[in-house]
Amino acid sequence: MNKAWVVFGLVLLLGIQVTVLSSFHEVYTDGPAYGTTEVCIVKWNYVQASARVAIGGPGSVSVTLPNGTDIAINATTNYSFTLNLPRTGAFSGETGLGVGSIELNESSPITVSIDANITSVPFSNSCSEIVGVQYVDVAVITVVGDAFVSVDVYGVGL
Amino acid sequence: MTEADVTSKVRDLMEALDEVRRYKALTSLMVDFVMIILATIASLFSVEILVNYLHASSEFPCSFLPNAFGCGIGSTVTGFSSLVALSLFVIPAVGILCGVVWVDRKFKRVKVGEWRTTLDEGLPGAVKLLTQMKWDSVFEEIQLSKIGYLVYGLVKVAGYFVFVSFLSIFATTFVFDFAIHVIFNLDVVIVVAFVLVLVLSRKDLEKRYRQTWSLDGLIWELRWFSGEFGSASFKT
Repeated sequence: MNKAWVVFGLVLLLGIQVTVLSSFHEVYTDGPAYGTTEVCIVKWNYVQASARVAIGGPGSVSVTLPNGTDIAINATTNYSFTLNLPRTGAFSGETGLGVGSIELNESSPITVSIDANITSVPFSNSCSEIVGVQYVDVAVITVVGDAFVSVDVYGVGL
Repeated sequence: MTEADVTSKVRDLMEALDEVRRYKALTSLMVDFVMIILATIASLFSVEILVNYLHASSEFPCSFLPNAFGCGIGSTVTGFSSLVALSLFVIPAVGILCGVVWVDRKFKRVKVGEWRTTLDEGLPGAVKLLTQMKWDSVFEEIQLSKIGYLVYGLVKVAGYFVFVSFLSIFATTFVFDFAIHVIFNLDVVIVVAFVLVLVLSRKDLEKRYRQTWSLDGLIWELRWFSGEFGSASFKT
Protein backbone atom coordinates (compact mmCIF):
# COMPACT_ATOMS: atom_id res chain seq x y z
CA MET A 1 0.00 0.00 0.00
CA ASN A 2 1.19 3.50 -0.75
CA LYS A 3 2.69 5.12 2.36
CA ALA A 4 0.76 8.33 1.68
CA TRP A 5 -2.52 6.45 2.09
CA VAL A 6 -1.34 4.94 5.38
CA VAL A 7 -0.44 8.43 6.66
CA PHE A 8 -3.81 9.73 5.47
CA GLY A 9 -5.58 6.84 7.26
CA LEU A 10 -3.67 7.50 10.47
CA VAL A 11 -4.43 11.24 10.36
CA LEU A 12 -8.11 10.42 9.77
CA LEU A 13 -8.06 8.00 12.72
CA LEU A 14 -6.45 10.67 14.93
CA GLY A 15 -9.12 13.17 13.87
CA ILE A 16 -11.87 10.73 14.86
CA GLN A 17 -10.12 9.98 18.16
CA VAL A 18 -9.76 13.68 19.01
CA THR A 19 -13.48 14.17 18.24
CA VAL A 20 -14.36 11.26 20.52
CA LEU A 21 -12.08 12.57 23.27
CA SER A 22 -13.71 16.00 23.08
CA SER A 23 -17.05 14.39 23.96
CA PHE A 24 -15.81 13.44 27.44
CA HIS A 25 -16.80 15.92 30.15
CA GLU A 26 -16.07 16.30 33.84
CA VAL A 27 -17.98 18.38 36.36
CA TYR A 28 -16.89 18.85 39.96
CA THR A 29 -18.96 20.61 42.60
CA ASP A 30 -18.66 20.68 46.36
CA GLY A 31 -20.27 22.51 49.23
CA PRO A 32 -21.51 22.31 52.81
CA ALA A 33 -24.62 20.28 53.67
CA TYR A 34 -26.73 21.23 56.67
CA GLY A 35 -30.32 20.56 57.56
CA THR A 36 -31.70 18.86 54.49
CA THR A 37 -29.51 19.17 51.41
CA GLU A 38 -30.48 18.33 47.86
CA VAL A 39 -27.76 17.27 45.42
CA CYS A 40 -29.05 17.50 41.88
CA ILE A 41 -27.20 15.89 38.97
CA VAL A 42 -28.61 16.83 35.56
CA LYS A 43 -27.47 15.53 32.16
CA TRP A 44 -28.65 15.15 28.60
CA ASN A 45 -30.13 11.69 28.05
CA TYR A 46 -27.48 10.78 25.43
CA VAL A 47 -24.74 11.13 28.03
CA GLN A 48 -23.36 8.09 29.84
CA ALA A 49 -21.91 9.21 33.16
CA SER A 50 -20.58 8.08 36.47
CA ALA A 51 -20.95 10.27 39.58
CA ARG A 52 -18.63 9.91 42.55
CA VAL A 53 -20.23 11.37 45.64
CA ALA A 54 -18.14 11.88 48.79
CA ILE A 55 -19.63 12.88 52.12
CA GLY A 56 -17.55 13.84 55.12
CA GLY A 57 -18.61 15.44 58.36
CA PRO A 58 -18.64 15.47 62.13
CA GLY A 59 -21.22 12.70 62.64
CA SER A 60 -23.92 10.54 61.15
CA VAL A 61 -26.02 11.65 58.20
CA SER A 62 -28.89 10.09 56.34
CA VAL A 63 -28.70 9.81 52.57
CA THR A 64 -31.51 9.09 50.14
CA LEU A 65 -30.29 7.79 46.79
CA PRO A 66 -32.04 8.53 43.45
CA ASN A 67 -33.71 5.10 43.51
CA GLY A 68 -35.30 5.91 46.89
CA THR A 69 -32.98 3.81 49.03
CA ASP A 70 -32.24 5.35 52.44
CA ILE A 71 -28.85 4.78 53.99
CA ALA A 72 -27.44 5.97 57.28
CA ILE A 73 -23.74 6.68 57.14
CA ASN A 74 -21.01 7.69 59.52
CA ALA A 75 -19.58 10.72 57.71
CA THR A 76 -16.51 10.93 59.98
CA THR A 77 -14.86 8.27 57.82
CA ASN A 78 -15.43 10.20 54.56
CA TYR A 79 -18.05 7.98 53.02
CA SER A 80 -18.14 7.82 49.23
CA PHE A 81 -20.10 5.97 46.61
CA THR A 82 -20.44 5.85 42.82
CA LEU A 83 -23.67 6.29 40.90
CA ASN A 84 -23.96 4.96 37.39
CA LEU A 85 -26.05 7.32 35.26
CA PRO A 86 -26.76 5.40 32.06
CA ARG A 87 -27.44 6.70 28.59
CA THR A 88 -31.21 6.64 28.11
CA GLY A 89 -31.64 8.04 24.63
CA ALA A 90 -30.01 9.16 21.41
CA PHE A 91 -28.82 12.68 20.61
CA SER A 92 -32.00 14.61 19.87
CA GLY A 93 -30.52 17.63 18.16
CA GLU A 94 -31.42 19.73 21.20
CA THR A 95 -28.41 22.02 21.76
CA GLY A 96 -29.38 24.21 24.69
CA LEU A 97 -31.64 24.25 27.71
CA GLY A 98 -31.92 26.63 30.64
CA VAL A 99 -34.18 26.19 33.65
CA GLY A 100 -33.42 28.65 36.45
CA SER A 101 -29.76 28.26 37.37
CA ILE A 102 -29.41 24.96 35.50
CA GLU A 103 -28.06 25.20 32.00
CA LEU A 104 -27.27 22.39 29.61
CA ASN A 105 -25.69 22.68 26.20
CA GLU A 106 -23.47 20.66 23.89
CA SER A 107 -20.22 21.78 25.52
CA SER A 108 -21.62 21.35 29.06
CA PRO A 109 -23.96 18.37 28.91
CA ILE A 110 -23.73 17.68 32.65
CA THR A 111 -24.40 20.01 35.57
CA VAL A 112 -24.53 19.56 39.34
CA SER A 113 -26.04 21.75 42.03
CA ILE A 114 -26.01 21.46 45.82
CA ASP A 115 -28.80 23.22 47.75
CA ALA A 116 -28.35 23.15 51.52
CA ASN A 117 -30.90 23.74 54.27
CA ILE A 118 -33.99 23.32 52.12
CA THR A 119 -37.38 23.31 53.78
CA SER A 120 -39.28 20.68 51.82
CA VAL A 121 -38.56 17.65 49.63
CA PRO A 122 -38.92 17.86 46.72
CA PHE A 123 -37.56 21.36 47.04
CA SER A 124 -39.09 23.92 44.71
CA ASN A 125 -36.04 24.91 42.70
CA SER A 126 -34.56 24.57 39.23
CA CYS A 127 -33.84 20.91 39.90
CA SER A 128 -37.45 20.01 40.58
CA GLU A 129 -38.56 22.09 37.59
CA ILE A 130 -36.28 20.21 35.23
CA VAL A 131 -37.51 16.76 36.29
CA GLY A 132 -39.56 15.34 33.44
CA VAL A 133 -38.18 17.68 30.80
CA GLN A 134 -37.70 15.81 27.51
CA TYR A 135 -34.18 14.60 26.69
CA VAL A 136 -32.96 15.34 30.21
CA ASP A 137 -32.09 12.89 33.02
CA VAL A 138 -32.08 14.06 36.62
CA ALA A 139 -30.67 12.24 39.65
CA VAL A 140 -31.43 13.68 43.07
CA ILE A 141 -29.62 12.73 46.26
CA THR A 142 -30.92 14.02 49.59
CA VAL A 143 -28.58 14.37 52.56
CA VAL A 144 -29.98 15.00 56.03
CA GLY A 145 -27.46 16.20 58.61
CA ASP A 146 -24.29 18.29 58.75
CA ALA A 147 -21.58 17.31 56.31
CA PHE A 148 -19.44 18.42 53.42
CA VAL A 149 -20.48 17.02 50.05
CA SER A 150 -18.43 16.75 46.89
CA VAL A 151 -19.69 15.43 43.58
CA ASP A 152 -17.44 14.50 40.68
CA VAL A 153 -19.32 13.53 37.52
CA TYR A 154 -17.49 12.15 34.52
CA GLY A 155 -19.42 11.40 31.38
CA VAL A 156 -19.31 10.89 27.67
CA GLY A 157 -21.87 12.16 25.20
CA LEU A 158 -21.76 10.23 21.95
CA MET B 1 46.53 19.23 -12.30
CA THR B 2 48.01 15.75 -11.82
CA GLU B 3 46.15 12.44 -12.19
CA ALA B 4 46.22 12.04 -8.41
CA ASP B 5 44.64 15.50 -7.98
CA VAL B 6 41.83 14.65 -10.40
CA THR B 7 41.19 11.29 -8.71
CA SER B 8 41.17 12.97 -5.29
CA LYS B 9 38.69 15.67 -6.45
CA VAL B 10 36.38 13.07 -7.99
CA ARG B 11 36.62 10.99 -4.76
CA ASP B 12 35.54 14.07 -2.77
CA LEU B 13 32.65 14.63 -5.18
CA MET B 14 31.51 11.00 -5.04
CA GLU B 15 31.70 11.00 -1.24
CA ALA B 16 29.59 14.16 -1.15
CA LEU B 17 27.06 12.51 -3.49
CA ASP B 18 27.02 9.40 -1.26
CA GLU B 19 26.11 11.67 1.61
CA VAL B 20 23.35 13.15 -0.54
CA ARG B 21 22.12 9.60 -1.30
CA ARG B 22 21.94 8.90 2.43
CA TYR B 23 19.93 12.07 3.02
CA LYS B 24 17.60 11.13 0.17
CA ALA B 25 17.02 7.76 1.83
CA LEU B 26 16.30 9.71 4.99
CA THR B 27 13.50 11.55 3.14
CA SER B 28 11.77 8.24 2.48
CA LEU B 29 12.49 6.96 6.02
CA MET B 30 11.07 10.16 7.44
CA VAL B 31 7.65 9.08 6.16
CA ASP B 32 8.13 5.76 8.01
CA PHE B 33 9.09 7.68 11.15
CA VAL B 34 6.00 9.90 10.86
CA MET B 35 3.82 6.80 10.42
CA ILE B 36 5.31 5.19 13.54
CA ILE B 37 4.82 8.40 15.57
CA LEU B 38 1.21 8.76 14.33
CA ALA B 39 0.52 5.11 15.16
CA THR B 40 2.00 5.69 18.63
CA ILE B 41 -0.25 8.70 19.22
CA ALA B 42 -3.25 6.72 17.91
CA SER B 43 -2.42 3.88 20.35
CA LEU B 44 -2.18 6.34 23.21
CA PHE B 45 -5.51 7.95 22.26
CA SER B 46 -7.12 4.50 22.02
CA VAL B 47 -6.01 3.68 25.57
CA GLU B 48 -7.21 7.13 26.69
CA ILE B 49 -10.66 6.61 25.10
CA LEU B 50 -10.94 3.13 26.66
CA VAL B 51 -9.90 4.34 30.13
CA ASN B 52 -12.12 7.44 29.97
CA TYR B 53 -15.08 5.33 28.84
CA LEU B 54 -14.49 2.90 31.70
CA HIS B 55 -14.32 5.86 34.09
CA ALA B 56 -17.60 7.27 32.70
CA SER B 57 -19.48 3.98 32.72
CA SER B 58 -18.14 2.00 35.65
CA GLU B 59 -16.33 2.37 38.94
CA PHE B 60 -12.94 2.58 37.27
CA PRO B 61 -11.25 5.17 39.50
CA CYS B 62 -9.74 7.67 37.08
CA SER B 63 -9.70 9.24 33.67
CA PHE B 64 -6.48 9.05 31.65
CA LEU B 65 -5.00 12.53 31.65
CA PRO B 66 -3.70 13.86 33.95
CA ASN B 67 -4.82 11.35 36.55
CA ALA B 68 -3.62 7.99 35.29
CA PHE B 69 -0.45 7.85 37.34
CA GLY B 70 -2.10 8.64 40.66
CA CYS B 71 -4.83 6.19 39.74
CA GLY B 72 -2.37 3.32 39.51
CA ILE B 73 -0.87 3.81 42.94
CA GLY B 74 -3.87 5.20 44.79
CA SER B 75 -6.02 3.44 47.32
CA THR B 76 -8.00 1.55 44.68
CA VAL B 77 -5.04 -0.17 43.13
CA THR B 78 -5.88 -2.84 40.62
CA GLY B 79 -3.67 -4.56 38.10
CA PHE B 80 -5.43 -2.82 35.24
CA SER B 81 -5.14 0.68 36.68
CA SER B 82 -1.42 0.08 37.25
CA LEU B 83 -1.10 -0.92 33.60
CA VAL B 84 -2.93 2.27 32.61
CA ALA B 85 -0.44 4.32 34.64
CA LEU B 86 2.45 2.52 32.98
CA SER B 87 0.99 2.91 29.49
CA LEU B 88 1.21 6.70 29.76
CA PHE B 89 4.99 6.31 29.88
CA VAL B 90 5.56 3.06 28.01
CA ILE B 91 3.57 3.72 24.79
CA PRO B 92 5.37 6.97 23.80
CA ALA B 93 8.74 5.52 24.84
CA VAL B 94 8.27 2.33 22.80
CA GLY B 95 6.89 4.28 19.82
CA ILE B 96 9.80 6.71 19.64
CA LEU B 97 12.35 3.96 20.28
CA CYS B 98 10.84 1.85 17.47
CA GLY B 99 10.87 4.88 15.14
CA VAL B 100 14.50 5.75 15.84
CA VAL B 101 15.69 2.10 15.63
CA TRP B 102 13.73 1.52 12.38
CA VAL B 103 15.16 4.65 10.72
CA ASP B 104 18.66 3.93 11.99
CA ARG B 105 18.58 0.30 10.75
CA LYS B 106 17.31 1.23 7.30
CA PHE B 107 19.66 4.20 7.09
CA LYS B 108 22.69 2.00 7.68
CA ARG B 109 21.60 -0.27 4.81
CA VAL B 110 21.77 2.48 2.18
CA LYS B 111 24.26 1.32 -0.46
CA VAL B 112 27.12 3.77 -0.92
CA GLY B 113 30.71 3.64 -2.17
CA GLU B 114 30.04 1.38 -5.15
CA TRP B 115 32.14 3.76 -7.26
CA ARG B 116 35.35 2.99 -5.35
CA THR B 117 36.47 0.09 -7.59
CA THR B 118 36.01 2.22 -10.71
CA LEU B 119 37.93 5.11 -9.18
CA ASP B 120 40.78 2.77 -8.21
CA GLU B 121 41.51 2.56 -11.96
CA GLY B 122 42.85 6.12 -11.72
CA LEU B 123 42.16 8.90 -14.25
CA PRO B 124 40.25 6.70 -16.73
CA GLY B 125 38.00 5.55 -13.89
CA ALA B 126 37.43 9.13 -12.73
CA VAL B 127 36.50 10.28 -16.27
CA LYS B 128 34.24 7.23 -16.67
CA LEU B 129 32.41 8.11 -13.43
CA LEU B 130 31.97 11.74 -14.47
CA THR B 131 30.73 10.88 -17.97
CA GLN B 132 28.24 8.35 -16.60
CA MET B 133 26.82 10.88 -14.17
CA LYS B 134 23.28 12.13 -14.93
CA TRP B 135 23.63 15.67 -13.69
CA ASP B 136 19.94 16.59 -13.75
CA SER B 137 19.02 13.69 -11.48
CA VAL B 138 21.99 14.51 -9.23
CA PHE B 139 20.68 18.06 -8.74
CA GLU B 140 17.20 16.71 -8.08
CA GLU B 141 18.57 14.24 -5.51
CA ILE B 142 20.41 17.03 -3.70
CA GLN B 143 17.28 19.21 -3.54
CA LEU B 144 15.19 16.31 -2.21
CA SER B 145 17.79 15.24 0.31
CA LYS B 146 18.11 18.83 1.55
CA ILE B 147 14.39 18.97 2.39
CA GLY B 148 14.37 15.45 3.84
CA TYR B 149 17.38 16.10 6.04
CA LEU B 150 15.84 19.26 7.48
CA VAL B 151 12.31 17.87 7.93
CA TYR B 152 13.60 14.66 9.53
CA GLY B 153 15.36 16.82 12.12
CA LEU B 154 12.12 18.68 12.84
CA VAL B 155 10.08 15.45 13.04
CA LYS B 156 12.67 14.01 15.43
CA VAL B 157 12.38 17.11 17.63
CA ALA B 158 8.56 16.77 17.53
CA GLY B 159 8.86 13.10 18.56
CA TYR B 160 11.16 13.97 21.47
CA PHE B 161 8.75 16.77 22.43
CA VAL B 162 5.81 14.32 22.65
CA PHE B 163 7.94 11.93 24.72
CA VAL B 164 9.34 14.59 27.08
CA SER B 165 5.86 16.13 27.48
CA PHE B 166 4.36 12.84 28.61
CA LEU B 167 7.33 12.16 30.87
CA SER B 168 7.00 15.65 32.40
CA ILE B 169 3.22 15.30 32.90
CA PHE B 170 3.87 11.90 34.48
CA ALA B 171 6.52 13.28 36.86
CA THR B 172 4.64 16.51 37.65
CA THR B 173 1.41 14.68 38.41
CA PHE B 174 3.30 12.42 40.79
CA VAL B 175 5.35 15.11 42.54
CA PHE B 176 2.82 17.96 42.75
CA ASP B 177 -0.60 16.39 42.49
CA PHE B 178 -0.13 13.06 44.19
CA ALA B 179 2.75 13.54 46.64
CA ILE B 180 2.27 17.12 47.87
CA HIS B 181 -1.34 17.62 46.69
CA VAL B 182 -0.75 20.79 44.68
CA ILE B 183 -2.44 21.02 41.30
CA PHE B 184 0.19 22.15 38.81
CA ASN B 185 -0.78 23.86 35.56
CA LEU B 186 -0.04 21.30 32.82
CA ASP B 187 0.18 24.01 30.13
CA VAL B 188 3.29 25.27 31.90
CA VAL B 189 4.71 21.75 31.95
CA ILE B 190 4.20 21.41 28.19
CA VAL B 191 5.85 24.79 27.47
CA VAL B 192 8.81 23.85 29.71
CA ALA B 193 9.08 20.49 27.92
CA PHE B 194 9.10 22.27 24.55
CA VAL B 195 11.85 24.68 25.61
CA LEU B 196 13.86 21.82 27.13
CA VAL B 197 13.68 19.80 23.89
CA LEU B 198 14.71 22.85 21.84
CA VAL B 199 17.70 23.46 24.12
CA LEU B 200 18.77 19.80 24.02
CA SER B 201 18.31 19.59 20.22
CA ARG B 202 20.04 22.91 19.57
CA LYS B 203 23.29 21.39 18.28
CA ASP B 204 21.47 18.92 16.05
CA LEU B 205 19.28 21.68 14.59
CA GLU B 206 22.30 23.94 14.03
CA LYS B 207 24.14 21.08 12.31
CA ARG B 208 21.17 20.47 10.03
CA TYR B 209 20.84 24.16 9.23
CA ARG B 210 24.55 24.38 8.30
CA GLN B 211 24.34 21.17 6.30
CA THR B 212 21.37 22.54 4.33
CA TRP B 213 23.42 25.61 3.39
CA SER B 214 26.40 23.46 2.42
CA LEU B 215 24.12 21.37 0.16
CA ASP B 216 23.02 24.60 -1.50
CA GLY B 217 26.69 25.44 -2.07
CA LEU B 218 27.29 21.96 -3.45
CA ILE B 219 24.52 22.45 -6.03
CA TRP B 220 26.08 25.68 -7.28
CA GLU B 221 29.55 24.18 -7.47
CA LEU B 222 28.26 21.13 -9.33
CA ARG B 223 26.26 23.25 -11.76
CA TRP B 224 29.42 25.15 -12.61
CA PHE B 225 31.44 21.94 -12.80
CA SER B 226 28.90 20.10 -15.00
CA GLY B 227 28.95 23.06 -17.43
CA GLU B 228 32.74 23.05 -17.57
CA PHE B 229 32.90 19.28 -17.80
CA GLY B 230 30.31 19.16 -20.58
CA SER B 231 32.28 21.64 -22.71
CA ALA B 232 35.68 19.97 -22.12
CA SER B 233 37.20 17.44 -24.50
CA PHE B 234 39.36 14.60 -23.28
CA LYS B 235 42.32 13.21 -25.10
CA THR B 236 43.51 9.71 -24.31
